[in-house]
Amino acid sequence: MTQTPEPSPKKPADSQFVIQRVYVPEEQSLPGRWLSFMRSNPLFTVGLILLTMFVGLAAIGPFFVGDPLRTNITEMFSPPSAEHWFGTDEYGRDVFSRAVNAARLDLSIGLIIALVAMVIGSTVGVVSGYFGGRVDEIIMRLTDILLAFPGFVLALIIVAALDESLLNVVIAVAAAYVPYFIRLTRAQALIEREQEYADAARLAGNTPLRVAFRHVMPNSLRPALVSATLVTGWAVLTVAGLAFLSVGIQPPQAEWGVMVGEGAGDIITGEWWTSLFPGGMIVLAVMAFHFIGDDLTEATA
Amino acid sequence: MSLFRATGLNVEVTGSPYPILREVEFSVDPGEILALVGESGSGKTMAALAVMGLLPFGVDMTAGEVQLEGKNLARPHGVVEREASQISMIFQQPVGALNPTMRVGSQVARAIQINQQVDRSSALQTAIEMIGHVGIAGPERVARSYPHQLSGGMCQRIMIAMAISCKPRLLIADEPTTALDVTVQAQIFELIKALVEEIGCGVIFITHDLGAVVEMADRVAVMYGGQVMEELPVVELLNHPTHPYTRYLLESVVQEVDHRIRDVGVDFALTGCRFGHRCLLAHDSCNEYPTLREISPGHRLSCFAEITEAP
Repeated sequence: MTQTPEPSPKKPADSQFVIQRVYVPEEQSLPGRWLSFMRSNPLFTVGLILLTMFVGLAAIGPFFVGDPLRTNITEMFSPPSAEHWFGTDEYGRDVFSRAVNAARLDLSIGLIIALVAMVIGSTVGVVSGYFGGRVDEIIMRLTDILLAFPGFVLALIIVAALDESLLNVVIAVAAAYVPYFIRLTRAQALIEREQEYADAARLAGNTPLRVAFRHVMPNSLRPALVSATLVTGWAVLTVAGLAFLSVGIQPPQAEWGVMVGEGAGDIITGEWWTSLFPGGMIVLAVMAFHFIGDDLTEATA
Repeated sequence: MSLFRATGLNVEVTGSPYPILREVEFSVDPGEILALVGESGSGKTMAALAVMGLLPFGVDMTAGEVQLEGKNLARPHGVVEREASQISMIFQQPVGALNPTMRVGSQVARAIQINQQVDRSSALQTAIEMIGHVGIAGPERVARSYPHQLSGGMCQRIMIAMAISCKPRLLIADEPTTALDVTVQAQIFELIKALVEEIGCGVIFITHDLGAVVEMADRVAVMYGGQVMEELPVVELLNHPTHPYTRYLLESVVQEVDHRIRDVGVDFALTGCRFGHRCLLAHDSCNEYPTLREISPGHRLSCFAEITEAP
């Protein structure tokens, strides 16, 4: 007697006619899209959390910590404790208070530098890309010269030539990043000026300047906007680096680079906390901007 | 006298010995729709761009006259001096032809503001009227939208509103419906025809769709390899197509495959008649360049072959 094979429960007889269900992703809401973007880009999420913390620290932190400049001879070089979370430095100043106040200065100066560089760079970039010809040639050769210097060295030269004020630091570091934005925006403007909407705008009788700035420029800004996040991080690093070399922002200003510079000598004598904590904050802040900028660049490329 | 006349248009790529357009000429009467027909690469869009002075970088108009209402607009080095109120254009990709970062209402308003010297708010008011006029429901709401929020058909209507808002004497429509689906296509044709009748402008209608030609055009100029092969009224096109290429073009619509065309790809003869090496009626004299000659009133032809009835 032969055994009739039982039909497998997984495979019904008419399985070849069953159409596989197709997964159609639902239209996501804006928060939903953010969440799924953050889930697929974990570094971006880390960067965003870090940045949120830093911004919170810079915005409200200074109201809760003591005066960053108050010295206390009796408490020189006290190690981290419940009273002084990050310890105190050679003048007995509270390192935590100084680091928090420095966060406000460093982040805002980084942001201002990125904005100034972006506004100037993309304006020049649009002129260069849209009008082309001799203007473009001159601007491109000038950016070539600027790009030949490493950004840090260029900023160092400029700030050394000018007086050492906060404004001059902004000017110097922004100038170091302007060519970068010129290149980015010019490349995009070259693409956008050939688009039909630019032709249509010209046909409608708009003046060349208006077509360049009202039509081509807004559409050429995307790469510059994305890169501005990266540049903010670099600007923080450059400003702190200049201050470390005692160029630019000067002691006793509470600034991360100044603090690292002042505390660098203390490491040998065992007081590691005066430089480690501000140094760590520089690293975290630059990382935050970099993670965000990197993933944004990839997502919009 | 015709409203618009382009004569002897020569367009060349800088540094290339072979012209893109050679001795191209066509004319448009007021209220008339002229179709420029030809396959991809035949130079129909280049002809339109040359007339508008919008040739891409590296491409130059080396010779030619562009006359509008008796005035020559062509200047040396391919520059065409034209006012926006004289010639307008509708583009192939309606979504791409609108600035993605501006509300469509202000784009139309801007065109009106420039050409009619009115202030911003009344220009916007006129723009909303125009947007309603091209058959868009709820023009106030649509005027506040960005191009990506609208469908291709709606964007094309906005483009048309923009083009006719300055009451042009000549309207150039470069394959205005290629990017749209067939039902929208018919609506856009109807709209263009109605508006042309209303403002009485001439139209140059560029297409490769012979169905559209029959539906829209009064006269047809058939182009191949940057050369006008034949220019004739649309009735003549249907009844007495004369040039061998015109016949091929018509037969390629009717039949599935035209086996008599030896090459399917676009490759032009570089000397003499551009169609010579594909033409069945070609003979020795086709190595010379044929000029347009009138064979019957309103019907001009550039071919040496003795044409009898369709083969």
